[in-house]
Amino acid sequence: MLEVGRIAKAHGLSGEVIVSLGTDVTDRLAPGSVLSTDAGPLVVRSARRHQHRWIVDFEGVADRTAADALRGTVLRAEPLVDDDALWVHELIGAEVRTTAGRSCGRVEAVEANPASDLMVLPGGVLVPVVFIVDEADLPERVVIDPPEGLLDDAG
Amino acid sequence: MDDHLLSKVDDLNTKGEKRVVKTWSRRSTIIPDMVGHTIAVHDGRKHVPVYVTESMVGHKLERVRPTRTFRFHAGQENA
Repeated sequence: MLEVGRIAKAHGLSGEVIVSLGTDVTDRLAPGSVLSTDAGPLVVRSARRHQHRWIVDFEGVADRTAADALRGTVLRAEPLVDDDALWVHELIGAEVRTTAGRSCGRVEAVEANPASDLMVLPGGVLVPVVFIVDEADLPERVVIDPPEGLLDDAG
Repeated sequence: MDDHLLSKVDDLNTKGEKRVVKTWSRRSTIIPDMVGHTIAVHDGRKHVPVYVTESMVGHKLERVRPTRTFRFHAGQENA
């Protein structure tokens, strides 16, 4: 199960909640979607954008009191299967090798960046994901083709 | 665009090299000559590599590397 979002607070009096979506797959909040929580599944009745977050109406949450009880709830879902996408949860922990065969360690984290998301390698070395040339062996390994100087230091 | 960064990029283009260029000049505008190069932009803490593409031309380097960062964690979904 992957974390896809978190309920921030109740919204209004009719049981709607504000959800901070942690995923870029907005279909997770499509009507009828089922999201898992520690207290059981929640079914999305409707959802709409509100600034940078979402206002969501879950089935069975009918008033403000019920919505307030969901504050802080973590929403989870099964991983999606999409071979064309590069998933963060697959990248983290994968070994990074250069096209020359040099091992650069394992991906410790992935950092969001407007230009291109960055893989964080041991020692704080940052590698933009655009340099990945072979991801066929994920989640075990990725191959990168870095320009000269990229892996030399952590800046 | 600051002269010191421009001269480094011109030097790479003249030699036909692909090497990371470090800069502190966040105010510099991305120009077409920088496309295909990797610029390590300082974010106040460290240099962060940015591979320059055509869609970034005209923007400032500070736009492609903000000073605030967000890290995904292993159990989180993001493509």
